[in-house]
Amino acid sequence: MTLTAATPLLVVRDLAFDAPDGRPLVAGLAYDLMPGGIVAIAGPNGTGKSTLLKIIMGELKAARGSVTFANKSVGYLSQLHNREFHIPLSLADVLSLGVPGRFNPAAATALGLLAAEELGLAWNTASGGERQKTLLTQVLMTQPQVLILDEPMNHLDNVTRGKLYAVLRDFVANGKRAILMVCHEKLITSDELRPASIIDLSKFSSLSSDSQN
Amino acid sequence: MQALLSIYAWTIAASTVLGAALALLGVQLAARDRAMQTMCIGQGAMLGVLIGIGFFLSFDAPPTLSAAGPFALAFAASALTYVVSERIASRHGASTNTHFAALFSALLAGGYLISALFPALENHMAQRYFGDLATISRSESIAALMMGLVILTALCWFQRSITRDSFAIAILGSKASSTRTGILFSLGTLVSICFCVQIVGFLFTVACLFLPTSILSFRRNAGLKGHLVTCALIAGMASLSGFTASLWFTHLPTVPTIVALMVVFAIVIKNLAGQRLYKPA
Repeated sequence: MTLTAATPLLVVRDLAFDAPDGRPLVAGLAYDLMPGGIVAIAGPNGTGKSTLLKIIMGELKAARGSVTFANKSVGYLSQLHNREFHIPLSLADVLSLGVPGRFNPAAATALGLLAAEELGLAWNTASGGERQKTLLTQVLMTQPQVLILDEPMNHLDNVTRGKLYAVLRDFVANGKRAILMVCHEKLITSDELRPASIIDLSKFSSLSSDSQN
Repeated sequence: MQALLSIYAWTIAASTVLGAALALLGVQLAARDRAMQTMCIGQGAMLGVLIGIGFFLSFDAPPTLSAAGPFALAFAASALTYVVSERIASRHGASTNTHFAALFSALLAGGYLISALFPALENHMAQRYFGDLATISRSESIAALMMGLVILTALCWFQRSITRDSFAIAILGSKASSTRTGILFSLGTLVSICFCVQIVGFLFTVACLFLPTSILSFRRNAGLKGHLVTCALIAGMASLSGFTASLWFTHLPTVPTIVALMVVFAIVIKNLAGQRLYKPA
């Protein structure tokens, strides 16, 4: 498939899904993720933001609708399920697991999130922010065309958030890649990272009278 | 002593290689928090082996069937245990180890019930639980050596993708990978556990799987390759020296001696590695 600037990288049509307990969450969700775009998914707790990302990534099944990627070059970072890992990995080990071929520490630090001296830290004793930066660096090093992030600013201090905003802006700057991310309202209104569009998931609630079916 | 060593050369080689291979497998299973599930699968295999031996002893089956039948039943029982435990884990994400422990107790009771139905099984049951490497035949030793080499090679070859899956399952909550490597890992784990429970016993299998990685996970210094290599070395060294010691001191049982040495080696190496490599800022 030949991609042009007008070809969406991700197409979602008439998507409906339920919570694991069977409670209807979202119905009639449709959008196109265009190259160069940053789409933020917002909404109150329990509206299905993280569930939506899992459905997009094929980890969960939708009740109805379709999700189509233009190609398979997709990087996904979910929220942390556990903090501790049994194997005593260093942050460099974690990065090398996610990168095809030989791991290049210089390429990892060049992204600007991690410093060289942080690579030797143990995953299990690193701070929440250091772990989050490692996972973000790992997913960025795979050079995906579409980046899907679930609350990437979690655990990050203001300085690191600033660095991540810059990294994300650079990511879409060439107009060929796009980002879909779950984030909170405060970030969406931030001047540093203005998304091209915002999807307020509460407006697609199956139980809401103003559902945009 | 030299005569004894030459008699048991294949068994010594097999236990050394199989011990190292199981230690590498155990690192990945522990990383996925599947230790208790592995105990269930091992106990499921035990149940299958006991049913198989009891059944084929009762009907005076031909030798080939008597050997292959229990292994086939062990595989079927452990596969069923795996499927049931995976369903339990997927239906109720929290406290899976409690569910696995409940399943283990049911399977343990099942094993004892089977041994009560076939009284000739009591000796077999003790043998399968605690093992005695000195009683393994030459052909079984060669088969165990081959199995150990296959597991070792596969785990080294696919180390990176298997560790990546383990990390994604444990930290990011991903489901077990449905890629070729992910399926091979699950299938290989089932076959390895069935084989090892039947040939070297439950205790040797579980100890090699989880003892080295459990103790070494307390190390303060981090490093994936270091952890994998030291776990394999500890299990291999303990199997080699424990078996040799039990030949030298005839009153020492083989597997408990190996397990005791494994604990000592793991604690010593954990402390030595920690002191040598950890540099406070």
